[in-house]
Amino acid sequence: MHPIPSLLGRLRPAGTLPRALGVAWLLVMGVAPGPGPLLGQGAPPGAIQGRVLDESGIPISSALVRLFRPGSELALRGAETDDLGYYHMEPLGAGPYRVDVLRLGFAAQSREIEVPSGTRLDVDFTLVTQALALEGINVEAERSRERVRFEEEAGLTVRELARDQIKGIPGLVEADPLRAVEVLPGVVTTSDFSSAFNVRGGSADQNLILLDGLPVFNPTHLGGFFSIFNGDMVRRAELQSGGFPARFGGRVSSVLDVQSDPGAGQLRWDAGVSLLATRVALAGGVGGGVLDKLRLRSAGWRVSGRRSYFDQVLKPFFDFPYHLTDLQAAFEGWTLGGDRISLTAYTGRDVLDLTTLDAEDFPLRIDWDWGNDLLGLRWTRPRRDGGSWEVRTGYSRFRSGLSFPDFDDTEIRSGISLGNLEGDLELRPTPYLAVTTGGGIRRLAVDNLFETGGTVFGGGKGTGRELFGYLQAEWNPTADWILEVGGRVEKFEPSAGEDVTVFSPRVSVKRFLPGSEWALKASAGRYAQFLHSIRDEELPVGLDVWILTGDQAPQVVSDQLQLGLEGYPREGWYGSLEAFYRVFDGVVTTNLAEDPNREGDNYLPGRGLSYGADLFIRRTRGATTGWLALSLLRADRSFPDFLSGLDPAPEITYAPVFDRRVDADLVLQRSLGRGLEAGLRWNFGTGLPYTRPLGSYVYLSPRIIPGSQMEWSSGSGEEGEETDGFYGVALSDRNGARYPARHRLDLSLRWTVDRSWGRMTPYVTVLNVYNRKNVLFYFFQYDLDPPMRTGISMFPFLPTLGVEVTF
Amino acid sequence: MVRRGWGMGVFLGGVAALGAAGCELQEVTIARPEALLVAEVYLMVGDEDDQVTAFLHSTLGSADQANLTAATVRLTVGDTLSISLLPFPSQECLLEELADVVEGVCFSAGPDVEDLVAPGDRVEVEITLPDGRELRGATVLPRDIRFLRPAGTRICALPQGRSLPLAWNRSEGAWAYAAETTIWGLRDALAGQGITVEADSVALLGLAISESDTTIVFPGEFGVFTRFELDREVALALQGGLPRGVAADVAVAALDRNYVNWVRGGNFNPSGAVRVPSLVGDGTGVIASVVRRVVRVLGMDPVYLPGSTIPSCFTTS
Repeated sequence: MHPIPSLLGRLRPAGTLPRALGVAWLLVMGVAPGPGPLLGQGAPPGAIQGRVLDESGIPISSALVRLFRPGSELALRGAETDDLGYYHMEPLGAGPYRVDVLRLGFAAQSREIEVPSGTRLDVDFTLVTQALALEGINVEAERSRERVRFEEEAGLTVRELARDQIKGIPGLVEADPLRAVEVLPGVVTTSDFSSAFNVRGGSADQNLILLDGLPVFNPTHLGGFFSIFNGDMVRRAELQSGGFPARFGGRVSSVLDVQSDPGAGQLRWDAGVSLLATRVALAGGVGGGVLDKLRLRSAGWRVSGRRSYFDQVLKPFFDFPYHLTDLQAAFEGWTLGGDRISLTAYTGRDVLDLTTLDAEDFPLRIDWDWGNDLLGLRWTRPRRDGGSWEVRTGYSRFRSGLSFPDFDDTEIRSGISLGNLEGDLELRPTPYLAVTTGGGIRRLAVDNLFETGGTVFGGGKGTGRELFGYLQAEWNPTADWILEVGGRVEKFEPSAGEDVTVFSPRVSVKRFLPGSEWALKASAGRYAQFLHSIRDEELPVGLDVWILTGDQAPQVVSDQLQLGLEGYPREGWYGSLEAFYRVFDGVVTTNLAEDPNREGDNYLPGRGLSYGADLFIRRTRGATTGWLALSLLRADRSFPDFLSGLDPAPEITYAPVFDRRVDADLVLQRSLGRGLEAGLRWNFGTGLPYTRPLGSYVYLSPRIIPGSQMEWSSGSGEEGEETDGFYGVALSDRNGARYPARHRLDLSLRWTVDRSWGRMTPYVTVLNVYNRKNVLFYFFQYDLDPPMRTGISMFPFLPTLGVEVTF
Repeated sequence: MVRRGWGMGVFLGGVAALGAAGCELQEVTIARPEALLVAEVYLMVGDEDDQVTAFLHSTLGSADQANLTAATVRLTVGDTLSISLLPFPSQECLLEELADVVEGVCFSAGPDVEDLVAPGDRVEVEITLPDGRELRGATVLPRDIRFLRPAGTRICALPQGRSLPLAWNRSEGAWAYAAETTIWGLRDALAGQGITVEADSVALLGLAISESDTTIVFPGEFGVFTRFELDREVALALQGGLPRGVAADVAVAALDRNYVNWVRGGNFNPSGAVRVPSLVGDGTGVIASVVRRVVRVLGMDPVYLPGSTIPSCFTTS
């Protein structure tokens, strides 16, 4: 199989580039445009486009379409079909060509065509299922969508993990898309115990986490240990970490889009048992009669359930107070007219029930449950020109409620919900121009309350309406250049506070380097978000509590710049180096010295800055695949220092807890034969900042009953018996010290065994193979003599196992 | 208006999880701590004994008793009146049993403190050690408060099994109100219900946030911060009102900014509690002011009330 010189045909007469614009580009990129055209002078170029469908009319994505001269085996051009089965190649010189289409699981097709000058020729294909995978097709058909992005997008930085890759990365207990993104460039995690992550110096609440396009606000179980995403339901996870075009909005740091797999309409069971939970997923199609009634050409669906089982297994011995459940469903149908309708639903709960425990052991009865509910509907209509219409609507909410059955004066709850109606229209009026526009409305609502003893200690209800619209254009003036220009307008109308309007210009440019498969790219843009999480990021676990922009908190506005070089140094290898610079305005921190009599000082607005570089080298072919991600980061935050005790508080600038200056991940996956797949992940990170105590002192509490003296907080035993109480700490500069560097090796082995009834995959994963004691916390114990520093580490050597079956 | 406290429950669960999954790190000897002065200056005025005290201590391992004893603690009230506090036995400031735990020196204005400071006064403090270290800060006392329910009495009767919605007037300048009670006689009072009470007296705290939050229900809304520690049966019994035969001193106090900041604390730190100081200089500490009122509540059998000489707690002004 020949490599695909897909850039060979990317050439267009440089003379078509307006001179003024060309000069501007030269200034932006600092390089000269590429060499001249291969096309004939004077004759307008032609183009081909089309859709690749299966026998039932369902679009086939990721099919490889190649263009040859008649009689030649050297591919001139290559393209990959998108989710709607669409491909296009342009510009092309007029004349005869041969078009081949390859896709794993289908018989290859070939067709001779004649491309007329100045015309876009439609060439559609219908592929026939072929069970036998032909050698070579596999490799070509699994080409990463990364390549398509490289060729067609200017600025967006996307890293994608397919389901098999997610399962192949050694991880905690079972495959988890949220945990898997830790190994991508630009991503920092602060704790093994949480799946919260930070991207390029952004806070964790600046990551937009989507399930099939709908936001999920607290996508974790067990306070952050595991995500809500069931690996059997996931088709892929994409992390978009910078250079967002105008169509993206809602968060300023990253977008993690987890996409469900509704299946191809065939009946299939997947099940699994891990140390966390049991899970089962069922996929299938829809019968002909139902399809006719629904006026659908075809449809596929998948439903899954997952539940932890410790509470059930241990029931004969004692009441284990915690369990989690997930239920998820995905549906995808294709209408007779070729439209796609997809539906996503999810509901999940964590339940911590401490009401049935022995009062001797646990005197305070607590009932705490939390979870997400989500329902989304999407309708997509492909356009003949390769563009599409899409309309999305959905509802997503998170709720957490903590109650004490014995004390009805106490209520602790937190919730956020979002309903949206959004639409996009993509047009391709000429072969060199794509225009996308869209808009929508989102309604956000938060409901937080912490009330006890007749006093409301915190909380508040609020709503906000976000209206947005955007317009972006992607222009290929020559085959060497891609220019994306756009703007986004967002208006946020909070129930309390002034309306806010933010205009966000975005521009990206990519320059393919002549004679190579490398490209330079640059992008700049403004991004905004209208909600914040007030969770203390210093705590390693916890749920996000959300507040909206309004009279309590400003909007976050971030201006970002990134420059990069990416390309394919050789077949099967991809490399990327990107530098970034980001400023954040309007980030907030909880004001722990707020005046209860004053509205509007509960949160302190501040600023942030981050810059750094990410290197990513991935090998996609060969017996051993994987990648190396190296991230350099410097981040800081500036806030009024309420701990100073001064009024007004002076501003301090400090490194946030996620300021890991160097972070490296090596991920390898290798087939060992006989169904064995080995996985390796090694992570290294320089130390994270923490605030070192200079000393500690006995924490005394005053009493207000006349004649009382101060007592040692929590230290007064009954009837004069004294026990140890709390200590207060006097702190050095905020986050002025650093924990030691961390590193950890994880290994996994999966063994896939085919049986007459299906397929079974037992697996074993070993975290922290060499039992590195990576520091989670230091405890400075100045009360000991001599004073000691103790601490607690993150995951120790931790083997886990599980099994997956497919019928 | 979400503020804080959300993280604590999560943190407790998290600590349990970390304890199960994490590992203790090897102990490492560290250098001696920095010698920092810690000063806790409280001005408590209102009913009964006014108290003006300053307790000076140090970060652990750096105590220098002689240096602390020789400190000067000077208060300036308004623009003119200057008062020096004098060293007293530490029991003036601390529970007696803590004398061996906390090395420090208590300074006090002594018993003749009446009218030294009054609600609304601005008071500055300057603490200087012989070695030159010093701390400085200031407070403004909240305005006076008085009970609106029960009104005009220092003692009142509460029918058995009923709760008392305490109410008081708004104190200008207060950041919050603390309510505190010490209840005696619970052991005997609850024995009839089959509830065993280990300590005969129980101290419970309540809190009302903001200047305008001027009510709290006694005794049900007291003790919300000790529900983990309090015997569940006792806590439930108090939810239903005050049992017959018990007596309780109930104090309500208007708290200034500094008091509130010092007790509610700052960010999470694994090595100990972070407090927001109001003294600046060579250490940390607080100068806090409190204006308080006290009432004694007796849990009575309802049938005794009509003829009782003790006024009802439900009297309002």
